[in-house]
Amino acid sequence: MIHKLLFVDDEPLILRVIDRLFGGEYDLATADGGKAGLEKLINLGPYSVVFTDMRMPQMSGIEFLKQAREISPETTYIMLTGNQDQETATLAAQCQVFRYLNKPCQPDQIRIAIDDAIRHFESISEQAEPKDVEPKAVG
Amino acid sequence: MKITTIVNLATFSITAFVIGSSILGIAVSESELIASVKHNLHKARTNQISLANETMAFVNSQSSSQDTLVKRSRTLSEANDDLRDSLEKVSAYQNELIHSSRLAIAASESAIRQVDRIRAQDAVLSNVKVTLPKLLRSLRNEVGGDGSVEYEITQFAEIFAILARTPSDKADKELTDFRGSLQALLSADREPEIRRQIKLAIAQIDKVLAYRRFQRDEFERYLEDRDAHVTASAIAVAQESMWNATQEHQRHLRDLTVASLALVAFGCAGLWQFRIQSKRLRALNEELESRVETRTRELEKARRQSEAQLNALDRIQGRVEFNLSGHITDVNENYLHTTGYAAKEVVGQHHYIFVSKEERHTPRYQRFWDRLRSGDYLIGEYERIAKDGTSRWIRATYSPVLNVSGQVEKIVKYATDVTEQRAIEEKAKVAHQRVADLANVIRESPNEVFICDADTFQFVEVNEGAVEASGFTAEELAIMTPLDLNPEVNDEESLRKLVSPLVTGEKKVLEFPTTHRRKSGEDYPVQISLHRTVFHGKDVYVAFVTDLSEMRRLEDKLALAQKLESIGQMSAGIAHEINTPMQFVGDNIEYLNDCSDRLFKVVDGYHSMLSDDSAPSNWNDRRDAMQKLTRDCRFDRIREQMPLAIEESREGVRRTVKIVQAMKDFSHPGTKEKSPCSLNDLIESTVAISQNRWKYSAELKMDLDQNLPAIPMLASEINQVLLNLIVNAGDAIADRYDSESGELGTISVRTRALDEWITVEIQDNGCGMPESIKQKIFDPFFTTKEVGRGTGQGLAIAHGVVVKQHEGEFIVESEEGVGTTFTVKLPRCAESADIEISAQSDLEELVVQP
Repeated sequence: MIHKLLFVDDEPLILRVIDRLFGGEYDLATADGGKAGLEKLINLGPYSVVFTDMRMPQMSGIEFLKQAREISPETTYIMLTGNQDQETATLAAQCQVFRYLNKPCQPDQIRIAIDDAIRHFESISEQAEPKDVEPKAVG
Repeated sequence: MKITTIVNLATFSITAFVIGSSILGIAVSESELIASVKHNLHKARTNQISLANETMAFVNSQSSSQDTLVKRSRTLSEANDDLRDSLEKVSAYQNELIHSSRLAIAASESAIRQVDRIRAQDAVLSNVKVTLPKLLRSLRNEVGGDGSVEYEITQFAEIFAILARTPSDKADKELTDFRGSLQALLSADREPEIRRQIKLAIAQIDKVLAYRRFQRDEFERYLEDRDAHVTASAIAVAQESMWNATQEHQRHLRDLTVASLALVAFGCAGLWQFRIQSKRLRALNEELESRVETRTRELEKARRQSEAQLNALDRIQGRVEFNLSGHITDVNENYLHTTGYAAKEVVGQHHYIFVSKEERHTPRYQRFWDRLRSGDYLIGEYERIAKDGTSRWIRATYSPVLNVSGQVEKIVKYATDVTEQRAIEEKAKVAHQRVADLANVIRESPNEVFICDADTFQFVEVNEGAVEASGFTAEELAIMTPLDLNPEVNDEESLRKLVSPLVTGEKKVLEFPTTHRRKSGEDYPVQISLHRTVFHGKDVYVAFVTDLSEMRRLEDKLALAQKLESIGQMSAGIAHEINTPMQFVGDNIEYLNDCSDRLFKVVDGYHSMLSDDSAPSNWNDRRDAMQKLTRDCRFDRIREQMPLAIEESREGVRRTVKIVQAMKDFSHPGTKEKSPCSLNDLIESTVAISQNRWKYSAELKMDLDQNLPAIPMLASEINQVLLNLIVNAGDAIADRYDSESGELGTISVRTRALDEWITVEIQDNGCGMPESIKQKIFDPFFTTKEVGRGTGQGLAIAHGVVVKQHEGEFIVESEEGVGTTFTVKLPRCAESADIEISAQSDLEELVVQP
């Protein structure tokens, strides 16, 4: 299975370097804001892993996560933020993100996070599938 | 016969003797009488003369002392008494004279009466001789008979009276007989009263008999004497001479009568003369009396006047009289009014009732009465208790009144109610004390108070605070003026200019901050409140000076605290602003590292191809191998991405440097001195560090006047002002446009150079604010932000920076739901200060992106 990744950040330079670093390895898409991210989730999904920034104009990372979960609940979400305050961390925890990464974050750690997230996504999917099948088996 | 003759002779002798002795007595009394009359007349005359003299002298002395009398109205009554005494004396002399005259007359009359009596006695004697036996006879008859006893006794009394004067043995015998018959009467049965009367009569008779016996004894002794010296012949001679003597006596008697008559005439003349004298005296007396009366009237008038005065005094003054035991004997209305008692409630009561229960038993009170009783005169203010129990204060005099022998008879107290007066005095005292205390408070106040002459400006009075703060002694300050203390005011002219609004009355008080210099040379900031007034009759200025050093220090502290607070608030955003470029810089370095590895692989490939002789290959093989290597290393992508990665890394570094620089600029500790700065530069660095606070909700448009001159300012403080305004603008927009709408607000920052001002306008289209909030935004600690987000210091300090430190203006316009515009106006100083300074920033022109 080819896992699809989506990076949401208001900083285009970050999106460009992410693409530059990981574009070769993963099927990776970027969005420069929450709104664009949600559109990609709807139109180009499903994505296995979604990275999002916290502070973005127009739509904050939290708001994006709330709406994204409704569109794609099975996706594993990771927060990558330049905010280092407690408040952001708390909000992220409330949104049940898989990982909470602080900028600046080493590319290796990002990679580990991506791989962990993919594995987490896969384990979730495996558990979820029988649930979908079971009623048919019974029925 | 002989016996009868002898008895008759004897009787006659006795009679002659009695008469002789009477005449002798009369003669003696006559001469005495004449002498006495003479003497009295003489005495009367001398008295009269001396009286007249005395009177005249007295009258003279009276008239001469009249003036004195008038003057000494107080002794008038005494003088009056003297006058009365004199008058009485005159009257007494007069009476004496009259009496003397009467005596003279009486003496004359008595002489005549004596002569008559002698004649009458002769008649009586002969009458008795005839009537006595008759009477006795009838008495015996009546007593023996059954007549009324009462009548008997009455008759008896008369007879007895006659008998008592009849010296005869026969009479004795008759009396004895009569006694016997009375005794006999007593033996018979009689009523007790009659018995008592009879007994009384018997006792009387006994007494008479005893007396007669005594007389008879005397006579018998006389007869024996005579018998011894006079012979029977001599008796005839004696009889003869007796007759002669009788004749002579009768002559004498005539002479005597004449003399008596003359005496009477003389007496009458004296009397007449005396009457004339009396009349004169009476006239004199009347005159005196009339003068006395006049004087008395005058005195009466004076007395009435003084009585009226006393009455008036009585009305306005309390009067109480006490006896020695301290009991009230009299009290006037005034005192009753003061104490609220009725007269009957106090008269007879002890002075106690006016005294408090506590005081009654004090030794002091005891002493008070002891002193009064000993005749001391006491004056003072005393507390007395009225009927209703309230305390009244009286100013009283207690004067003991002495009787003639100098002992204290009673005590009279005059009292004036001074309760109200005391209350007023007490109030005045309290008020006075308050003024004194207030003066003391001012004098000792640590705040400096200077009072200087309005003309010379020389200090006329300074308080302890002024001495303490200035370091000069009061004596040194006394010859100084405000010019010596204030380094900012250099000459008297500018001082006059400064106080002129007080002189014209344009202002009542001048308040301004300035600097004072201590004796040590140290300057310190002060706030002065100056007003003009009058002190000791001179126009002065009074300056209340408050040392602002501590306040300035606190203000500085507060400003620093706010600055640190805003930097703290900024730090999270700044961290974010740094972390973001660091993220892509780091990632790009990682990518570049990867690129360099692959590039080296490619280079190494080429190198081995060219230098490896051991495995000769043809050109095509080598080219294919190299193409494969470059493809494996994705060389094309490296070539395409590497410059971008480098460029993006540079961008990241640039952004980081810029934000750090802005932060450095912003948080520069700043100097106390103003230095020429470009307002535009300050705005740019402030915008840079604050962007994280607004860029997610607003776009910021800058419209900066490039011809803005650099003006002296406190850069750090102005940065602070700008930051506060931009952050507020961002917050106002964030409050209005929530994240859901996704809309961005607009912050506009404009600078302009005007004639007198340079202005910066920071406008937002945020939520705006109502008038109620607008009025309070410059109040310290006022904030509309939630707890932890703002301390309410920002605008208060910004206002202080602009208005106080830069003498600028701070204008706020706001409309709810439309937006807010803050305008800061800073004064352009003199042209010399308008130093054009080149944009010293080594950063490129800032491009702010939302």
